[in-house]
Amino acid sequence: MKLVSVVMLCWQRKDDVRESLTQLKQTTYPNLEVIVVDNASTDGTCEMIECDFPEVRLIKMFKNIGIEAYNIGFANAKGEYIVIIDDDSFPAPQAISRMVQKFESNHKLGVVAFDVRNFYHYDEIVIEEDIDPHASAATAPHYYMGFNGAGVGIKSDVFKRVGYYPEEFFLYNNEMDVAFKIWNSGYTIEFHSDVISYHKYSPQNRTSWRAPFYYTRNAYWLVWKNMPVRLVVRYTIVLLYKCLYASMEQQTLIYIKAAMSAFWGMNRIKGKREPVHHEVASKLRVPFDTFFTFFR
Amino acid sequence: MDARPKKALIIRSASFQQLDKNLPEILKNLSEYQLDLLTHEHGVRLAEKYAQIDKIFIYPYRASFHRKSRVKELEKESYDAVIVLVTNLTGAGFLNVIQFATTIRSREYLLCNLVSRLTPFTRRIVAIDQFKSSVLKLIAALGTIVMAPLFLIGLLIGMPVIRIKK
Repeated sequence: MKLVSVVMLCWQRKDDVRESLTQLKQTTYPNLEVIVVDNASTDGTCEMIECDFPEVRLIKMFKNIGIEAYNIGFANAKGEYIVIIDDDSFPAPQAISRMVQKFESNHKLGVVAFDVRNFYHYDEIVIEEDIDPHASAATAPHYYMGFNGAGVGIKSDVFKRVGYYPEEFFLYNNEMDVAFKIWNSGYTIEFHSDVISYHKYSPQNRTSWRAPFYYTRNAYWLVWKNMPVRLVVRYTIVLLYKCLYASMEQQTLIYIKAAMSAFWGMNRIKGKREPVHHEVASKLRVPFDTFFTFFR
Repeated sequence: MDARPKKALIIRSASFQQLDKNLPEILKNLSEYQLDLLTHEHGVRLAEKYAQIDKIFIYPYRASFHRKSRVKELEKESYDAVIVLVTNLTGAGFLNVIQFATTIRSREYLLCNLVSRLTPFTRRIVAIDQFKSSVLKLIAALGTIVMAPLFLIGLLIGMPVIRIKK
Protein backbone atom coordinates (compact mmCIF):
# COMPACT_ATOMS: atom_id res chain seq x y z
CA MET A 1 0.00 0.00 0.00
CA LYS A 2 1.47 3.32 -1.08
CA LEU A 3 2.69 5.78 1.51
CA VAL A 4 0.67 8.99 1.87
CA SER A 5 2.25 12.04 3.48
CA VAL A 6 -0.07 14.49 5.22
CA VAL A 7 1.48 17.95 5.43
CA MET A 8 0.10 20.63 7.70
CA LEU A 9 1.38 24.19 8.19
CA CYS A 10 0.58 25.83 11.50
CA TRP A 11 0.91 29.15 13.25
CA GLN A 12 -0.56 30.10 16.63
CA ARG A 13 -3.49 27.68 16.71
CA LYS A 14 -2.53 25.16 19.35
CA ASP A 15 -6.05 23.92 20.12
CA ASP A 16 -7.05 23.61 16.46
CA VAL A 17 -3.82 21.75 15.68
CA ARG A 18 -4.45 19.38 18.55
CA GLU A 19 -7.94 18.67 17.28
CA SER A 20 -6.84 18.18 13.67
CA LEU A 21 -4.07 15.77 14.65
CA THR A 22 -6.46 13.87 16.91
CA GLN A 23 -9.01 13.59 14.11
CA LEU A 24 -6.29 12.42 11.72
CA LYS A 25 -5.86 9.34 13.90
CA GLN A 26 -9.37 8.27 12.77
CA THR A 27 -8.15 7.94 9.18
CA THR A 28 -8.81 4.47 7.80
CA TYR A 29 -5.83 4.54 5.43
CA PRO A 30 -3.07 2.53 7.14
CA ASN A 31 0.13 3.76 5.51
CA LEU A 32 0.47 7.39 6.56
CA GLU A 33 3.15 9.80 7.67
CA VAL A 34 2.19 13.13 9.21
CA ILE A 35 4.44 16.16 8.86
CA VAL A 36 3.69 19.42 10.66
CA VAL A 37 5.65 22.54 9.78
CA ASP A 38 5.40 25.23 12.43
CA ASN A 39 5.85 28.85 11.40
CA ALA A 40 7.42 30.01 14.70
CA SER A 41 4.34 29.77 16.93
CA THR A 42 4.73 31.24 20.40
CA ASP A 43 1.62 29.74 21.99
CA GLY A 44 3.04 26.33 22.87
CA THR A 45 2.02 24.56 19.64
CA CYS A 46 5.40 22.85 19.18
CA GLU A 47 5.58 21.69 22.79
CA MET A 48 2.06 20.29 22.54
CA ILE A 49 2.89 18.35 19.35
CA GLU A 50 6.12 16.95 20.81
CA CYS A 51 4.31 15.87 23.96
CA ASP A 52 0.97 14.62 22.63
CA PHE A 53 1.87 13.49 19.10
CA PRO A 54 5.41 12.09 19.18
CA GLU A 55 4.72 10.12 15.98
CA VAL A 56 4.35 13.36 14.02
CA ARG A 57 7.42 14.71 12.20
CA LEU A 58 7.67 18.28 13.41
CA ILE A 59 9.70 20.82 11.46
CA LYS A 60 10.18 24.14 13.22
CA MET A 61 10.78 27.46 11.47
CA PHE A 62 12.61 30.23 13.29
CA LYS A 63 10.33 32.90 11.84
CA ASN A 64 7.01 33.06 10.05
CA ILE A 65 7.79 32.61 6.36
CA GLY A 66 4.23 32.03 5.17
CA ILE A 67 3.52 29.30 2.65
CA GLU A 68 7.23 28.87 1.91
CA ALA A 69 7.25 26.70 5.01
CA TYR A 70 4.79 24.32 3.35
CA ASN A 71 7.43 23.64 0.67
CA ILE A 72 9.88 22.49 3.32
CA GLY A 73 7.25 20.01 4.45
CA PHE A 74 6.60 18.86 0.87
CA ALA A 75 10.31 18.39 0.18
CA ASN A 76 10.60 16.22 3.27
CA ALA A 77 7.57 14.10 2.42
CA LYS A 78 8.37 10.50 1.46
CA GLY A 79 4.89 9.54 0.27
CA GLU A 80 3.80 8.87 -3.27
CA TYR A 81 0.83 11.14 -2.57
CA ILE A 82 0.77 14.31 -0.50
CA VAL A 83 -2.34 15.46 1.34
CA ILE A 84 -2.29 19.14 2.23
CA ILE A 85 -4.35 20.45 5.13
CA ASP A 86 -4.58 23.69 7.09
CA ASP A 87 -3.97 23.85 10.84
CA ASP A 88 -7.74 24.00 11.32
CA SER A 89 -8.79 21.31 8.88
CA PHE A 90 -8.63 17.52 8.68
CA PRO A 91 -9.80 14.84 6.26
CA ALA A 92 -12.85 12.69 7.00
CA PRO A 93 -11.90 9.13 8.06
CA GLN A 94 -12.47 7.61 4.61
CA ALA A 95 -11.13 10.53 2.60
CA ILE A 96 -7.52 9.42 2.10
CA SER A 97 -8.45 5.82 1.19
CA ARG A 98 -10.91 7.09 -1.40
CA MET A 99 -8.35 9.60 -2.68
CA VAL A 100 -5.79 6.84 -3.26
CA GLN A 101 -8.38 4.73 -5.12
CA LYS A 102 -9.10 7.61 -7.46
CA PHE A 103 -5.42 8.22 -8.18
CA GLU A 104 -4.83 4.50 -8.78
CA SER A 105 -7.72 4.26 -11.24
CA ASN A 106 -6.80 7.35 -13.31
CA HIS A 107 -3.15 7.97 -14.12
CA LYS A 108 -3.83 11.36 -15.66
CA LEU A 109 -5.28 12.60 -12.39
CA GLY A 110 -2.76 14.96 -10.79
CA VAL A 111 -4.90 16.41 -8.02
CA VAL A 112 -7.87 15.12 -6.04
CA ALA A 113 -9.52 18.24 -4.70
CA PHE A 114 -11.34 17.42 -1.49
CA ASP A 115 -14.85 18.72 -0.90
CA VAL A 116 -13.91 21.15 1.89
CA ARG A 117 -16.88 21.68 4.17
CA ASN A 118 -17.76 23.56 7.32
CA PHE A 119 -16.74 21.58 10.40
CA TYR A 120 -19.43 23.14 12.59
CA HIS A 121 -22.44 22.52 10.35
CA TYR A 122 -21.80 20.00 7.57
CA ASP A 123 -22.86 16.81 9.34
CA GLU A 124 -26.17 18.34 10.49
CA ILE A 125 -27.36 19.33 7.06
CA VAL A 126 -26.04 16.72 4.68
CA ILE A 127 -27.15 13.19 3.99
CA GLU A 128 -24.23 11.16 2.76
CA GLU A 129 -25.87 8.23 1.13
CA ASP A 130 -23.59 5.82 -0.64
CA ILE A 131 -22.01 7.84 -3.39
CA ASP A 132 -20.93 5.82 -6.40
CA PRO A 133 -17.13 6.29 -6.39
CA HIS A 134 -17.18 6.20 -10.21
CA ALA A 135 -19.66 9.08 -10.31
CA SER A 136 -18.28 11.30 -7.57
CA ALA A 137 -16.32 13.73 -9.73
CA ALA A 138 -17.65 17.29 -9.53
CA THR A 139 -16.43 18.70 -12.82
CA ALA A 140 -17.61 20.90 -15.64
CA PRO A 141 -17.15 19.88 -19.27
CA HIS A 142 -16.29 23.37 -20.53
CA TYR A 143 -13.84 24.67 -17.98
CA TYR A 144 -11.10 23.63 -15.60
CA MET A 145 -11.07 24.07 -11.83
CA GLY A 146 -8.41 24.79 -9.22
CA PHE A 147 -8.53 23.42 -5.67
CA ASN A 148 -8.78 24.43 -1.99
CA GLY A 149 -5.61 24.13 0.10
CA ALA A 150 -7.59 23.15 3.21
CA GLY A 151 -7.99 19.69 1.74
CA VAL A 152 -6.27 18.34 -1.36
CA GLY A 153 -4.29 15.32 -2.51
CA ILE A 154 -1.52 15.68 -5.06
CA LYS A 155 0.81 13.21 -6.74
CA SER A 156 4.22 13.90 -5.16
CA ASP A 157 6.27 13.65 -8.34
CA VAL A 158 3.91 15.96 -10.25
CA PHE A 159 3.90 18.46 -7.40
CA LYS A 160 7.70 18.44 -7.23
CA ARG A 161 7.95 18.95 -10.99
CA VAL A 162 5.76 22.06 -10.88
CA GLY A 163 7.83 23.52 -8.03
CA TYR A 164 5.38 23.19 -5.12
CA TYR A 165 3.76 26.40 -3.84
CA PRO A 166 5.02 29.80 -5.05
CA GLU A 167 7.00 31.03 -2.05
CA GLU A 168 6.83 34.67 -3.07
CA PHE A 169 3.03 34.72 -2.67
CA PHE A 170 3.30 34.40 1.16
CA LEU A 171 -0.47 33.88 1.52
CA TYR A 172 -3.42 33.21 -0.82
CA ASN A 173 -3.72 32.34 -4.49
CA ASN A 174 -0.87 29.84 -4.15
CA GLU A 175 -3.29 27.02 -5.05
CA MET A 176 -4.30 28.84 -8.23
CA ASP A 177 -0.67 29.15 -9.30
CA VAL A 178 -0.18 25.42 -8.87
CA ALA A 179 -3.44 24.73 -10.72
CA PHE A 180 -2.12 26.52 -13.81
CA LYS A 181 0.99 24.38 -13.76
CA ILE A 182 -0.79 21.08 -13.09
CA TRP A 183 -3.21 21.53 -16.00
CA ASN A 184 -0.38 22.74 -18.23
CA SER A 185 1.67 19.64 -17.54
CA GLY A 186 -1.11 17.42 -18.88
CA TYR A 187 -2.60 16.30 -15.57
CA THR A 188 -6.14 16.96 -14.37
CA ILE A 189 -7.69 18.37 -11.20
CA GLU A 190 -10.97 16.88 -10.01
CA PHE A 191 -13.21 17.61 -7.05
CA HIS A 192 -14.84 14.49 -5.59
CA SER A 193 -18.02 14.63 -3.56
CA ASP A 194 -17.08 11.55 -1.50
CA VAL A 195 -13.68 12.85 -0.42
CA ILE A 196 -14.37 15.31 2.40
CA SER A 197 -12.19 17.65 4.42
CA TYR A 198 -13.64 19.42 7.45
CA HIS A 199 -12.57 23.03 7.87
CA LYS A 200 -13.22 25.27 10.86
CA TYR A 201 -14.56 28.02 8.65
CA SER A 202 -14.66 31.07 10.83
CA PRO A 203 -14.23 34.15 8.65
CA GLN A 204 -14.78 36.59 11.54
CA ASN A 205 -11.33 35.65 12.79
CA ARG A 206 -9.62 36.77 9.61
CA THR A 207 -7.85 40.12 9.85
CA SER A 208 -9.60 42.48 7.47
CA TRP A 209 -6.69 43.67 5.33
CA ARG A 210 -4.66 40.49 4.69
CA ALA A 211 -7.09 38.62 2.43
CA PRO A 212 -7.94 41.53 0.07
CA PHE A 213 -4.29 42.64 -0.04
CA TYR A 214 -2.66 39.28 -0.77
CA TYR A 215 -5.42 37.95 -3.04
CA THR A 216 -5.19 41.12 -5.14
CA ARG A 217 -1.40 41.41 -5.24
CA ASN A 218 -1.01 37.75 -6.04
CA ALA A 219 -3.67 37.97 -8.76
CA TYR A 220 -1.31 40.24 -10.73
CA TRP A 221 1.57 37.79 -10.19
CA LEU A 222 -0.64 34.86 -11.24
CA VAL A 223 -1.33 36.62 -14.51
CA TRP A 224 2.26 37.71 -15.15
CA LYS A 225 3.74 34.30 -14.34
CA ASN A 226 1.27 32.09 -16.13
CA MET A 227 -0.70 33.83 -18.89
CA PRO A 228 0.35 34.19 -22.54
CA VAL A 229 1.43 37.75 -23.39
CA ARG A 230 -1.83 38.85 -25.00
CA LEU A 231 -3.75 37.82 -21.89
CA VAL A 232 -1.15 39.45 -19.61
CA VAL A 233 -1.97 42.83 -21.14
CA ARG A 234 -5.73 42.22 -21.05
CA TYR A 235 -5.90 40.96 -17.46
CA THR A 236 -3.48 43.58 -16.14
CA ILE A 237 -5.81 46.28 -17.45
CA VAL A 238 -8.86 44.43 -16.09
CA LEU A 239 -7.26 44.05 -12.65
CA LEU A 240 -6.25 47.70 -12.59
CA TYR A 241 -9.81 48.71 -13.43
CA LYS A 242 -11.22 46.40 -10.74
CA CYS A 243 -8.77 47.78 -8.15
CA LEU A 244 -9.86 51.35 -8.88
CA TYR A 245 -13.56 50.47 -8.89
CA ALA A 246 -13.44 48.36 -5.72
CA SER A 247 -11.39 51.00 -3.90
CA MET A 248 -14.06 53.60 -4.54
CA GLU A 249 -16.99 51.24 -3.91
CA GLN A 250 -15.59 49.95 -0.62
CA GLN A 251 -13.82 53.20 0.37
CA THR A 252 -10.46 51.61 1.00
CA LEU A 253 -6.98 51.99 -0.40
CA ILE A 254 -6.09 48.33 0.17
CA TYR A 255 -6.59 47.32 -3.46
CA ILE A 256 -4.45 50.22 -4.75
CA LYS A 257 -1.73 49.30 -2.25
CA ALA A 258 -1.90 45.72 -3.45
CA ALA A 259 -1.55 46.80 -7.10
CA MET A 260 1.44 49.00 -6.21
CA SER A 261 2.98 46.18 -4.21
CA ALA A 262 2.61 43.85 -7.21
CA PHE A 263 4.53 46.27 -9.41
CA TRP A 264 7.22 47.32 -6.95
CA GLY A 265 7.71 43.72 -5.95
CA MET A 266 7.97 42.38 -9.50
CA ASN A 267 11.53 41.35 -8.80
CA ARG A 268 10.20 38.64 -6.49
CA ILE A 269 8.89 36.70 -9.51
CA LYS A 270 12.17 37.07 -11.40
CA GLY A 271 12.88 34.03 -13.55
CA LYS A 272 9.51 32.45 -12.74
CA ARG A 273 7.42 33.27 -15.77
CA GLU A 274 6.22 30.12 -17.52
CA PRO A 275 3.21 30.89 -19.75
CA VAL A 276 0.71 28.07 -20.07
CA HIS A 277 -0.90 26.78 -23.27
CA HIS A 278 -3.68 28.98 -24.53
CA GLU A 279 -6.24 26.24 -23.85
CA VAL A 280 -5.32 26.19 -20.17
CA ALA A 281 -5.27 29.98 -19.90
CA SER A 282 -8.72 30.28 -21.47
CA LYS A 283 -10.35 27.34 -19.70
CA LEU A 284 -9.02 27.54 -16.14
CA ARG A 285 -11.61 29.26 -13.97
CA VAL A 286 -9.87 32.04 -12.04
CA PRO A 287 -12.41 33.84 -9.83
CA PHE A 288 -10.98 37.35 -10.26
CA ASP A 289 -14.22 39.00 -9.03
CA THR A 290 -14.02 37.07 -5.76
CA PHE A 291 -10.66 38.65 -4.87
CA PHE A 292 -12.46 41.99 -4.43
CA THR A 293 -15.05 40.74 -1.95
CA PHE A 294 -12.94 40.01 1.13
CA PHE A 295 -12.73 43.50 2.58
CA ARG A 296 -15.09 43.80 5.55
CA MET B 1 -56.24 31.00 -0.50
CA ASP B 2 -52.96 30.21 -2.21
CA ALA B 3 -52.32 26.50 -1.56
CA ARG B 4 -49.04 26.49 -3.49
CA PRO B 5 -46.13 25.80 -1.12
CA LYS B 6 -43.75 28.71 -0.73
CA LYS B 7 -40.51 28.47 -2.67
CA ALA B 8 -37.15 30.11 -2.22
CA LEU B 9 -34.09 30.05 -4.48
CA ILE B 10 -30.58 30.31 -3.08
CA ILE B 11 -27.98 31.67 -5.48
CA ARG B 12 -24.68 30.03 -4.54
CA SER B 13 -22.37 33.00 -4.85
CA ALA B 14 -20.25 31.87 -1.88
CA SER B 15 -18.34 28.70 -1.02
CA PHE B 16 -20.01 25.51 0.13
CA GLN B 17 -18.32 26.08 3.49
CA GLN B 18 -20.26 29.28 3.88
CA LEU B 19 -23.49 27.76 2.60
CA ASP B 20 -23.09 24.99 5.20
CA LYS B 21 -23.03 27.77 7.81
CA ASN B 22 -25.82 29.88 6.28
CA LEU B 23 -28.25 27.04 5.56
CA PRO B 24 -29.41 26.31 9.14
CA GLU B 25 -30.26 30.02 9.60
CA ILE B 26 -32.05 30.14 6.23
CA LEU B 27 -34.04 27.05 7.18
CA LYS B 28 -34.95 28.61 10.52
CA ASN B 29 -36.19 31.83 8.90
CA LEU B 30 -37.90 30.18 5.95
CA SER B 31 -39.05 27.00 7.62
CA GLU B 32 -42.10 26.44 5.41
CA TYR B 33 -40.34 27.08 2.14
CA GLN B 34 -39.24 24.61 -0.48
CA LEU B 35 -35.59 25.44 -1.13
CA ASP B 36 -34.02 25.36 -4.58
CA LEU B 37 -30.37 26.12 -5.35
CA LEU B 38 -28.65 27.72 -8.33
CA THR B 39 -24.99 26.79 -8.71
CA HIS B 40 -22.27 26.67 -11.35
CA GLU B 41 -21.85 23.31 -13.06
CA HIS B 42 -18.88 22.21 -10.98
CA GLY B 43 -20.96 22.60 -7.81
CA VAL B 44 -23.83 20.27 -8.72
CA ARG B 45 -22.39 17.00 -7.32
CA LEU B 46 -21.43 18.77 -4.11
CA ALA B 47 -24.85 20.42 -3.75
CA GLU B 48 -26.68 17.12 -4.23
CA LYS B 49 -25.68 16.10 -0.72
CA TYR B 50 -27.90 18.72 0.94
CA ALA B 51 -30.97 16.97 2.35
CA GLN B 52 -33.04 20.17 2.38
CA ILE B 53 -32.51 21.29 -1.21
CA ASP B 54 -35.35 20.29 -3.49
CA LYS B 55 -34.15 21.29 -6.95
CA ILE B 56 -30.72 22.22 -8.25
CA PHE B 57 -30.45 24.54 -11.23
CA ILE B 58 -27.25 24.88 -13.22
CA TYR B 59 -25.78 28.26 -14.11
CA PRO B 60 -24.26 27.16 -17.43
CA TYR B 61 -21.47 29.72 -17.68
CA ARG B 62 -17.89 29.73 -16.46
CA ALA B 63 -17.89 33.39 -15.39
CA SER B 64 -19.56 34.97 -12.34
CA PHE B 65 -23.28 35.61 -12.20
CA HIS B 66 -24.35 38.40 -14.55
CA ARG B 67 -27.76 39.86 -15.33
CA LYS B 68 -27.27 39.32 -19.06
CA SER B 69 -26.46 35.62 -18.60
CA ARG B 70 -29.90 34.11 -18.16
CA VAL B 71 -30.82 30.64 -17.04
CA LYS B 72 -33.55 29.30 -19.34
CA GLU B 73 -35.04 26.95 -16.74
CA LEU B 74 -35.46 29.78 -14.23
CA GLU B 75 -37.39 31.96 -16.66
CA LYS B 76 -40.39 29.67 -16.16
CA GLU B 77 -40.12 29.79 -12.36
CA SER B 78 -41.60 32.18 -9.84
CA TYR B 79 -40.38 32.40 -6.24
CA ASP B 80 -41.45 33.84 -2.92
CA ALA B 81 -37.85 34.64 -2.04
CA VAL B 82 -34.50 34.75 -3.85
CA ILE B 83 -31.47 34.69 -1.56
CA VAL B 84 -28.03 35.95 -2.56
CA LEU B 85 -25.08 34.68 -0.50
CA VAL B 86 -22.31 37.21 0.10
CA THR B 87 -18.90 36.52 1.62
CA ASN B 88 -18.64 39.73 3.64
CA LEU B 89 -20.88 41.72 5.97
CA THR B 90 -22.31 44.25 3.51
CA GLY B 91 -22.51 42.65 0.08
CA ALA B 92 -19.88 44.99 -1.35
CA GLY B 93 -18.51 43.56 -4.58
CA PHE B 94 -21.62 41.48 -5.24
CA LEU B 95 -23.67 43.94 -7.29
CA ASN B 96 -23.43 41.67 -10.34
CA VAL B 97 -25.06 38.80 -8.40
CA ILE B 98 -27.66 41.11 -6.85
CA GLN B 99 -28.57 42.46 -10.29
CA PHE B 100 -28.76 38.90 -11.64
CA ALA B 101 -31.06 37.94 -8.75
CA THR B 102 -33.58 40.62 -9.71
CA THR B 103 -33.96 39.08 -13.18
CA ILE B 104 -35.65 36.12 -11.48
CA ARG B 105 -39.36 36.54 -10.69
CA SER B 106 -39.80 36.74 -6.92
CA ARG B 107 -41.92 38.37 -4.23
CA GLU B 108 -38.89 39.35 -2.22
CA TYR B 109 -35.11 39.39 -2.44
CA LEU B 110 -32.74 38.74 0.45
CA LEU B 111 -29.01 39.10 1.07
CA CYS B 112 -27.46 36.46 3.35
CA ASN B 113 -24.07 37.60 4.65
CA LEU B 114 -21.18 35.65 6.12
CA VAL B 115 -22.68 35.71 9.62
CA SER B 116 -26.01 34.45 8.19
CA ARG B 117 -27.91 37.71 8.65
CA LEU B 118 -30.77 37.99 6.14
CA THR B 119 -31.38 41.50 4.82
CA PRO B 120 -34.07 42.35 2.26
CA PHE B 121 -33.31 44.39 -0.82
CA THR B 122 -35.59 45.70 -3.56
CA ARG B 123 -35.33 46.41 -7.27
CA ARG B 124 -35.44 50.10 -6.38
CA ILE B 125 -32.40 49.82 -4.12
CA VAL B 126 -30.62 47.85 -6.83
CA ALA B 127 -31.47 50.54 -9.40
CA ILE B 128 -29.97 53.21 -7.14
CA ASP B 129 -26.85 51.09 -6.56
CA GLN B 130 -26.66 50.49 -10.29
CA PHE B 131 -26.64 54.23 -10.92
CA LYS B 132 -23.91 54.78 -8.32
CA SER B 133 -21.99 51.88 -9.80
CA SER B 134 -22.22 53.39 -13.30
CA VAL B 135 -20.64 56.59 -12.01
CA LEU B 136 -17.85 54.65 -10.26
CA LYS B 137 -17.32 52.55 -13.39
CA LEU B 138 -16.86 55.68 -15.48
CA ILE B 139 -14.33 57.10 -13.03
CA ALA B 140 -12.52 53.75 -12.80
CA ALA B 141 -12.43 53.51 -16.61
CA LEU B 142 -10.99 57.02 -16.91
CA GLY B 143 -8.45 56.22 -14.21
CA THR B 144 -7.51 53.02 -16.02
CA ILE B 145 -7.06 54.88 -19.33
CA VAL B 146 -4.67 57.29 -17.60
CA MET B 147 -2.77 54.75 -15.50
CA ALA B 148 -2.73 51.68 -17.74
CA PRO B 149 -0.10 52.96 -20.19
CA LEU B 150 2.25 53.73 -17.29
CA PHE B 151 1.64 50.32 -15.75
CA LEU B 152 2.09 48.52 -19.08
CA ILE B 153 5.33 50.37 -19.79
CA GLY B 154 6.48 49.39 -16.31
CA LEU B 155 5.48 45.82 -17.06
CA LEU B 156 7.29 45.88 -20.40
CA ILE B 157 10.45 47.02 -18.67
CA GLY B 158 9.90 44.52 -15.88
CA MET B 159 9.06 41.55 -18.15
CA PRO B 160 12.69 40.79 -18.97
CA VAL B 161 13.19 40.64 -15.21
CA ILE B 162 10.34 38.15 -14.90
CA ARG B 163 11.62 36.22 -17.94
CA ILE B 164 10.71 32.71 -18.99
CA LYS B 165 11.87 29.92 -16.72
CA LYS B 166 14.24 27.49 -18.43
